[in-house]
Amino acid sequence: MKAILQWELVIEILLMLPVKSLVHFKCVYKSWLCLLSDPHFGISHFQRLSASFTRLLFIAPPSPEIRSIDFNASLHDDYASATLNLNFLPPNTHHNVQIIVETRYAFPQHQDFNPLLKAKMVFLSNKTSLNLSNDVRCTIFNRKILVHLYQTQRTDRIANPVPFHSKPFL
Amino acid sequence: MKMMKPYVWLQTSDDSIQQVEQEIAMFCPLICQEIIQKGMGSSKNCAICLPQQVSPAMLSLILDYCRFHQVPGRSNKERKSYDEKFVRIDTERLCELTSAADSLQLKPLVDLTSRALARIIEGKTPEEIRDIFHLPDDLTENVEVEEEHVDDRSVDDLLSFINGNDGGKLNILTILIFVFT
Repeated sequence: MKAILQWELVIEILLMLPVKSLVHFKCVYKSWLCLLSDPHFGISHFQRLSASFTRLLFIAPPSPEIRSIDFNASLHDDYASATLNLNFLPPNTHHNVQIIVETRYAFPQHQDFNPLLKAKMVFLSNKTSLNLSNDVRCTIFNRKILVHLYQTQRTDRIANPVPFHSKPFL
Repeated sequence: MKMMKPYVWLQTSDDSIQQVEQEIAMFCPLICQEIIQKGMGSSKNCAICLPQQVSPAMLSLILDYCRFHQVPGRSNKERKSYDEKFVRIDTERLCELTSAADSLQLKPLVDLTSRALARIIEGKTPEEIRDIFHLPDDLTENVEVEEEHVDDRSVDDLLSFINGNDGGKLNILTILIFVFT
């Protein structure tokens, strides 16, 4: 007997997949193309994704590169780890920043654990903050990471927060 | 006299009828409704007719699952490791199981098998996906144009999100930098 999954079940399963797979799967079947191109599907998918959202900022001290890592994503997912562009920070602050993890729950024992994560990590729960150095303070608030940059000699403050640009980290 | 465990009679898709422990079968909302609301299943003559998706093999798998999980006092770790082993079956059977569990409204098992299927298909090519879901290839020609169009739009959406136009509505990691001059 050939098991043919009902459409509702197929949708459920597709909602669990990373964006990268969904982009490939548009050419599987006509009704999949319609589904995956439908903004409502996109919104549901996004909500599903953000509900189980856990991401980690990884800053390896010798290199200026800062990565944002989703340690629940599979290792095949290209966006599981994305480089963030933090060029606006003064050059030396990178060395003082360590790793900040936002997690909704106790740290998961994940099988596909990213080898990068063997490094020292700092876990923050919601609404806590941590001074990473004299210059940089990280705060988790409403599931956003706010990076505050202090320059003690300067007292003026630019009114608007600068939006952070990075590669898509969806 | 020895106490008899209550049993319930179930008829699977091949018309065969079997007796299973009521306590375990009641784990499936559909069977539970039939017993409580319609008084079905108490004898062979009024066996509960299960949906077409439930073959005897699938019923036996589903009952194994229910039997394990209805035992109280198991730790989450035990349950999780049972679940992990439980879905290590071939993809065809996993699809069948998903479908059968769904027809019995057994939500936890549907979630479990759907997640397992999602993990399996995640890295597969469209061709392999068609094989798994028994789909014909019905749009090879149009695909490239369509894909390009759709991708453009999603990049725009993404940019507008990253630039914060959607602000507080979108609940995902945003890094805001406050610069002190």
